[in-house]
Amino acid sequence: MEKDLIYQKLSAYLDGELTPEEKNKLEGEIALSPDLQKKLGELKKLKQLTVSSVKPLPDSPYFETRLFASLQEHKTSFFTIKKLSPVVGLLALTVLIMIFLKYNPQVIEHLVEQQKSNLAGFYKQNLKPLLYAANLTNEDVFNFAFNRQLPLDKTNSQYLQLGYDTTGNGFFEIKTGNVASNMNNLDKFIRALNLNSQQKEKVDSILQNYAEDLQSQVLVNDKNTVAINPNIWNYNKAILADIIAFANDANEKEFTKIVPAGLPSYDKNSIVKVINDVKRTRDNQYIFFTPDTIFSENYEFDKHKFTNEMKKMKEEMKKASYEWKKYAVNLQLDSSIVKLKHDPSWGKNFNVQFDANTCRVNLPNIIPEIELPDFDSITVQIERAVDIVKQVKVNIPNITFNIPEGSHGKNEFHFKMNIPGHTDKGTEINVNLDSILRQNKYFIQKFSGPGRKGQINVDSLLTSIRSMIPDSMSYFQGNEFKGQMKEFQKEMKKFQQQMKEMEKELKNNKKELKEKKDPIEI
Amino acid sequence: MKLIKIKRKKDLQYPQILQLDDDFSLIQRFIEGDESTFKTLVQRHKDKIRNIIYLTLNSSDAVDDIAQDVLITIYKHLKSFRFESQFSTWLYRITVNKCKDHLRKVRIRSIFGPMNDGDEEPVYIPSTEHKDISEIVNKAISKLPEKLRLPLLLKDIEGLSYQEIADAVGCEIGTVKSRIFRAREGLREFLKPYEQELMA
Repeated sequence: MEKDLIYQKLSAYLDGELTPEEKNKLEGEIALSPDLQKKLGELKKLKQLTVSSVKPLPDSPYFETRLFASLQEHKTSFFTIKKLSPVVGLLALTVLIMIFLKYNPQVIEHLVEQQKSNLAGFYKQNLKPLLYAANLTNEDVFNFAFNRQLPLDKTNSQYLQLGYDTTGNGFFEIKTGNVASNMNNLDKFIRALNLNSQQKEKVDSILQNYAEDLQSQVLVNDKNTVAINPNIWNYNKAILADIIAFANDANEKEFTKIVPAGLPSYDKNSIVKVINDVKRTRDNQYIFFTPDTIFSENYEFDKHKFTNEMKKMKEEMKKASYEWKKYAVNLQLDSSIVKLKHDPSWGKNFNVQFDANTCRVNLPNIIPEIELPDFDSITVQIERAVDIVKQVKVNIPNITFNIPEGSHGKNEFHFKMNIPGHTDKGTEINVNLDSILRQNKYFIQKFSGPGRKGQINVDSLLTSIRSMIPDSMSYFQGNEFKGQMKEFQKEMKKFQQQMKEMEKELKNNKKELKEKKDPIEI
Repeated sequence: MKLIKIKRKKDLQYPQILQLDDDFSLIQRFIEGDESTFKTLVQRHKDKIRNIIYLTLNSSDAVDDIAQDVLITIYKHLKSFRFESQFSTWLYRITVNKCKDHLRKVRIRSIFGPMNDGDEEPVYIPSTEHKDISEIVNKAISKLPEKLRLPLLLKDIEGLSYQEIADAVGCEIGTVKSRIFRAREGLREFLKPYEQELMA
């Protein structure tokens, strides 16, 4: 072992790996030992053999070229990863957002609500009461109470129908067709109760009051949006209750005849409370029908501001009355709305049904809750009564007459009406035919050309005239008014005859002048 | 003539760079973004790397592939070099490890692959055949165990110090000293049949 250690030192000495001290010491030992000298010689020879025997490695001329090509490839793949890093980052972000939203679903709900509000904001601009534009009469309000129908657009015969489905949930429909307002139900109701003039005025004032309130229940704008306040159902019940309570007080005997089964027992004060509650309820949750969607949203309609605006507008409207049609809405049920039927989120608030002429929206939980007495049983009775009244139909004949040529601007007629039950009050009405004709677009189109001769549908004329007559008196549209119209026709004929006579006189005068001139010339 | 010109050009480049730029300053510049310095490092060390691989594997077959692998590894990790040891030490260590990895893979392949009789060729070479001395010595060297052969060749061929060899193979300096001696003793034993011819 000792020998091996000395030989190891010899090997290290040969390799120059000994410290100077070790080297000096070993050299001393080598000088004295022939064995070490021999071993050192062996090791030297082996080292020489090793160095000389190992073949040198051949050069690789393309080593660097290959290396840097590989490095470039590596860099490219590195940069590809770098390029992909935004995508990877985006993916990571998406996953993070998904995880975040999974545990915080209210955030996305809030965002959706915000977007809805933006869309709602667009459709909520410039909303005006449609019923004002629809020229709502007391007859319409009366029919609304009993038939739950409100005309939306009289020109295009669209109306709003309220109702309850078999499960008792409220719905409303926008229907195309004629409302029952032509049935003169209010007149028949008044006559059936045999009301005096004061009572009639009271009915008128009740209905007029509700007509104003109903204005803010249905709003429209120029973006073809219809906004309906679900509180309209409660108004329907309130009007009904008000009318029934009034009728019962006014003439209980006659009212019992109309409603043979009589009214179910009710507390008058509770009805008054209900009416006040309905009027006081400021439910700003409207249902918006738009060309894109149907949604429910809060909307504050400033009735007073609108009333002030309307006063100003009224003055302007006198100059161009048919501008009102700007607010007339003809709701087109296009395919985009139909598509929304498949949106499951609708099921939460609405159930919408479509057909060619109707758009029906069921609203399970949207009607503001007010405790009401059992009006439904009353309504059944009243509806029966109204059906009885409906059986007596009054058909207004289509009267045709000729408009005298050259009479434009001078057509003022004076009517004196003798109204049964109003014998003490002779009602006088001045009808300015020019102003009525100007309001009638049909007439303007028909008669603006040369030779103003033709027919006019008296129904449209009557509607215009009716607006000048108090509603309680409007039943004179029937036989009484027919008589008045005959008088009017007679006067027109007289006027024509006078004109003809005047023409003849003029011709005669010309002849006379000619006859007188001749002798002078001779 | 062309060869001479190339030689001169090389002679002009290397001494200047070696004098002005040591490994550390080149690495520092590389870390600062000047990747062109890597080329200088490659030019400076590639031969050493290739030779170590060649000596370790005792074959030139996979030398360039492993050398490229070593240099790409160096390129990837150069920015994290901590300047705690010589660059060459780090470089040799990586090279030796890559060689060991390669040999391990070859060994595994040989276990599962077909038998190769050539590997089991006896050391003895008949003297009557007048074999080339270098070939005989090479054969003898190749028969040395890897752990003895590598330190011996790194010392005698590459001229590394015992310390450098110890760092590269991951052992103590005394172990290196012992292994080199044992390698020489083993070589002597293998070459005993040719003693007279070799010592002549």
